[in-house]
Amino acid sequence: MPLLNMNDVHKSYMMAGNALHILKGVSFTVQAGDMVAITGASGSGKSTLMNIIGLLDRHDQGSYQLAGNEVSHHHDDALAALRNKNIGFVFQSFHLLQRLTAVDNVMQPLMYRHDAMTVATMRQTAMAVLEKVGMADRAHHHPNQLSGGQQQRIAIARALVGSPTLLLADEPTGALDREMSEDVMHLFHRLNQQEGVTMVLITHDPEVAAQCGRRLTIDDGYMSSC
Amino acid sequence: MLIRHIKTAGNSLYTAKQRTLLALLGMSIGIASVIAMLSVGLMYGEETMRQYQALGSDMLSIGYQREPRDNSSDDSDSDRKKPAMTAALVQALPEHLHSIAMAAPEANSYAWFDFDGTSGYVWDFIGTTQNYRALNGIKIQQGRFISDLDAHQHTVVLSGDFLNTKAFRTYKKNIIGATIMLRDREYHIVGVLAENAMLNSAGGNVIRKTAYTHISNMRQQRDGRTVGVVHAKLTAGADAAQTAEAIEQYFAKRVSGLKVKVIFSKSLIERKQKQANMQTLLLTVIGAIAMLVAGVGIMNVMLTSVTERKQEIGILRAIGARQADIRWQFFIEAVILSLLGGAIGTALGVAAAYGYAQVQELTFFVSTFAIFVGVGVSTAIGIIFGLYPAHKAAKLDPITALRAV
Ligand SMILES: Nc1ncnc2c1ncn2[C@@H]1O[C@H](COP(=O)(O)OP(=O)(O)OP(=O)(O)O)[C@@H](O)[C@H]1O
Ligand SMILES: [Mg+2]
Repeated sequence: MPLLNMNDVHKSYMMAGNALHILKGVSFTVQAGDMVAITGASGSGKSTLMNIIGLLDRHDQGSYQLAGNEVSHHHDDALAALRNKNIGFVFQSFHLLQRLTAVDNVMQPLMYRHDAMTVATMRQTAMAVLEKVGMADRAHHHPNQLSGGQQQRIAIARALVGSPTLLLADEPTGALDREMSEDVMHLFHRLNQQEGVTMVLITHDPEVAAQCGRRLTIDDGYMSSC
Repeated sequence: MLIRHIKTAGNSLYTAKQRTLLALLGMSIGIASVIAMLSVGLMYGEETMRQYQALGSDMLSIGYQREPRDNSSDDSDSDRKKPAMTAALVQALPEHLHSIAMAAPEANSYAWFDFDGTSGYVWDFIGTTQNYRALNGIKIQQGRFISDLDAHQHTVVLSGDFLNTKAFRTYKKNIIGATIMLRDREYHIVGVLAENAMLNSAGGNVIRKTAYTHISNMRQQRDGRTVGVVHAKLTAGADAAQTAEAIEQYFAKRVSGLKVKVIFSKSLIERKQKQANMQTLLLTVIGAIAMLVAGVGIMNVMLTSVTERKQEIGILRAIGARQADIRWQFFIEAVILSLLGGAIGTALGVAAAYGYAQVQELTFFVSTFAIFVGVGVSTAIGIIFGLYPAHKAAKLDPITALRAV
């Protein structure tokens, strides 16, 4: 059973009274342990697709199964719980909370888990993940005291803290220079190969895409593999 | 979970110090002014009641019954002489009625005064007798009050506030014994009342220039009446209703057509109490409006906060926060803000009331009602005005929120 299975997914936006058809029937699967790169021209709908995969947005038509469950008609709270437990997000602009320290940022997903974990345990878990991404020594820094690459590592730690089955990254290296971007890609590779984290990442960078096991491209609302 | 929400709220309130401080400022000033206003109002009410009760519930006043208007009468009607209580009849009242311990007539007029080259207006120029002082519990700061020996003597006693006027302040010689012109006649000043010396017949403090002379110096009004009202005191244990009837008969028998009306201080006290309650109600309404303004302030701050923190909301939603989590977080922030503002405001308000009480020499007390208003209303404000921004935050579309800058 694939971890992710999309079949004929459609999505359009209403713009000034006209329906803007962005996804015109996207079908693809991702197996557990895969590392998939999605490429495509700017405006082709990569982020739109990513938001649907990540259950932040709903598609208009088609079926989407996550770990065998059809999630198209789930209630908002159920989607939130799935995002919390099964999905980790990494954004191009990191999206860390400026008012919190690195470790507090990382433990946020655990705070919304609604289980009996104590704050001390959450902090320990967060520290362990920070260790994994090599940021343990910056645990008590605020985001604005860190470089872009370091902030992205914190964001990756936050995405990983809840042990998700699927890590989604929308242009994770888009805001980083070459060195930092290689750094982050190394981390992704290690997580994928050593920890078995399934990864779907969007990128513009052909070099980044080349490093992924599979490459998919969105073109004119359809998905194709290259 | 609640504790975590409170911590999160505390953290984000602390981060947005400026916004938090502004909200607290508005809220606490609102609550403080309401608490101070309410406390001072209540203290004044208590004070007035105390003064009234100090007068005793055995006081009574006698006035004229209003006559039904005669439609056939013409304009000159007001000049027609009406049956009147006379000073002599009032003086003799205690001798004839055992239930009356003491009585004093009061003739009320106004006058222009001239003193040491300066002139001014006397709001109340009162003619009365010696008993008036005891009946009204008047305090004297210099000299003496009018005595029965002052009949036709043109002596006068002035209220304390005369001393604050320029003419009296610059007067170098002793005021007792000095002369003052009242209604174009020369009067000798024999005494000055203490400030805040008594309650006048209308029920307020003497807060305007008042001069007292013997009633024999007063002229008749156009309706032929000199005595306007009579102050009297019951003997201990006398029955009020019976006394009232006896007084009515006493005057009716001696002056044809004279109908008097007896009012007991007991009913005055009750009326005063009602008045005080009305005043409190009014202050409460004003307070409620102030609270509403404070509440709108909180709502404004929270709505700004929602707009400014759209991205944060988006991030939290992306990592799995439910709508309810977001709603709680913003709601608790609003409640914390208003509770904190309420607490600060209550403290400030009580302090202000305390300061005012010290200056005005009122008996200070912390009104539980005021505290209830402070705490209760600020919680209510937090809840009512926090709900909408929290709801708005919760309903934000995660993607739209994430995209916000
Ligand atoms: N909320 C929206 N309302 C209307 N149109 C939208 C909305 N979101 C996206 N679009 C449109 O959908 C199209 C696809 O947007 P999307 O962000 O998915 O592109 P993308 O492939 O991620 O582009 P980029 O590489 O520049 O990030 C664009 O034309 C965009 O204008
Ligand atoms: Mg995009």
